[in-house]
Amino acid sequence: MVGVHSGQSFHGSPDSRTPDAVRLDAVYKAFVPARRRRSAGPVLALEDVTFTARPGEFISLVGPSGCGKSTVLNLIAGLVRPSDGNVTYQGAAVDGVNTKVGYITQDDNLLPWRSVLRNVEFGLELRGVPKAERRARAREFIELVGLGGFEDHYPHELSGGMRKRAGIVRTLAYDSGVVLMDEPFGPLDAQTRVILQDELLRLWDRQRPAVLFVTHDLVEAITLSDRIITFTGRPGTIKQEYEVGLARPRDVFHIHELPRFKELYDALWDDIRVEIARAGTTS
Amino acid sequence: MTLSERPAKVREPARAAVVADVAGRARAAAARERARVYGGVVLLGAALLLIWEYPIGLVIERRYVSKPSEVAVRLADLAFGGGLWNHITTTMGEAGLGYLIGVAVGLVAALLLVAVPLLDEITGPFLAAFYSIPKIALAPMFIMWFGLGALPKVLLAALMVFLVVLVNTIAGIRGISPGLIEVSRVLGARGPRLVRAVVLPGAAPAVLASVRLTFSRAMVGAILGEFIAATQGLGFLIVRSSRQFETATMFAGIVVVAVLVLIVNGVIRLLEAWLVPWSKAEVHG
Repeated sequence: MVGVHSGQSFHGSPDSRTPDAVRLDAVYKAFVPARRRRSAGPVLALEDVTFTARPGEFISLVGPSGCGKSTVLNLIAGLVRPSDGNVTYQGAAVDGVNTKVGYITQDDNLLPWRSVLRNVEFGLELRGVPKAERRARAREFIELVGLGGFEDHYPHELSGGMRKRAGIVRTLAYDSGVVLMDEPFGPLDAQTRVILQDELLRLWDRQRPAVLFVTHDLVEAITLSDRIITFTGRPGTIKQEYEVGLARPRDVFHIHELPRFKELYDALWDDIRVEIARAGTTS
Repeated sequence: MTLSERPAKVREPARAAVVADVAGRARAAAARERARVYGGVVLLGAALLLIWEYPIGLVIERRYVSKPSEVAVRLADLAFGGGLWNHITTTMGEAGLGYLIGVAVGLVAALLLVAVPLLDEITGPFLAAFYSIPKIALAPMFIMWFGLGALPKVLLAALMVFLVVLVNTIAGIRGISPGLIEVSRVLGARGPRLVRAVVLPGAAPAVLASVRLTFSRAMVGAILGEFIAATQGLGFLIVRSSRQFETATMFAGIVVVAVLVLIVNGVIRLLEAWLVPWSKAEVHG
């Protein structure tokens, strides 16, 4: 078996008293379908999911569509409650919307009526950061992703890649300990995707938040992560954990040439392919 | 020589000439298109006026249809000493006040129904039933209840506006992407702050589109009330002159109403462009 989780992360906190960034403990989640399909009964989305994200750890969650990966993120963000089991964030149970996390979705979800600058300021504004300070901080982050000069543009005036950059720095600007990313680069073209992966790694390296990154793209998962967790099809359970074990900083443009990369890629594919085939026959 | 080999330098003058040429042609084509549209509008308008002025009298008896020249003279008479301004201020006052009331009540009611879904479900059938009543059927009752003054006209105007604003505001709020709300909540927005920073601006394009289009409905409400019982106002002017076969006066009144609605719509459109520069929306109802 290749690269099964060995218990020690490369970026785990050296201080053992620091609480885990995120912990899911025997979590179940069942949904009651929309009213007109209620007769079908509740659907079990997650079953007995247990894992821990240490501070500063970059984890990817991969698995077939509908396996509950996004639900895991929504549980940590406090947007949905577990049907059973516990979700803790930095040692405390998640109760209600968790405004301590950063949450980046597939759609950029920028406020269309705010300029880039005022969008990036939004999270800081809601946290009561004084105007001068939040403006300076927003400008710094905007510069960092090459959006300097576009501060006063509205989102609809930007390309998809630029909107995505603005959404990412809006979240990173308020320096949360955990960032949840739900297929953030899904809608982008292949070239922009790779460039944004590179930028994301550089940004991540500045603050080193823990990241939970949902993706369908195995190359992306290996390129970015310290650890990859694969899920089975519905109901989603954890199938396997892989330590990536590639040195950082990583060269996203050439990382696929490394032998370790190919080895992991094959192992992940074998793992996922079975689940996709299974999901295809049952749905 | 390989396939990928290119001339070492782009010929700068050639590039500039091509760009300038294309830009010039596009401008010329756009100018021709505009000229065709404006020319067409002027021609059609002139043709309609000419037909009304001359040959239509051969088909329909003249006293039923009047003529543009007579209407213009009548309009001038009314404007200079004929009491037109009193009629305008009366109707605009009723319509304007009713409009403001209808918009305000519609907005507040929509926010309430979205905030309390149970209330929405309970009042839903009643609102739907009310929506299906042609408001014209209520006009005589309003006159009976509220007398011959401005009040029944203001209320009719408000009623004409209220439901359309209500329905469009609810649709506007429901149309906000759930993802946008969720992300804003995780960013820390909640309660009144969420409403002010996300919900209201998110619904604004749909709301403002309905607010723009409902002024003409407020005018309908006010004029309807004046048709039934009034001593003043454009509706009164139109209905009185039609009963007395003063066709020119009647058309003069109609022209004034149309021009007023166009002016107010233009002003509201300017306000809208200034308030929500980021979007355009469709209106329902």
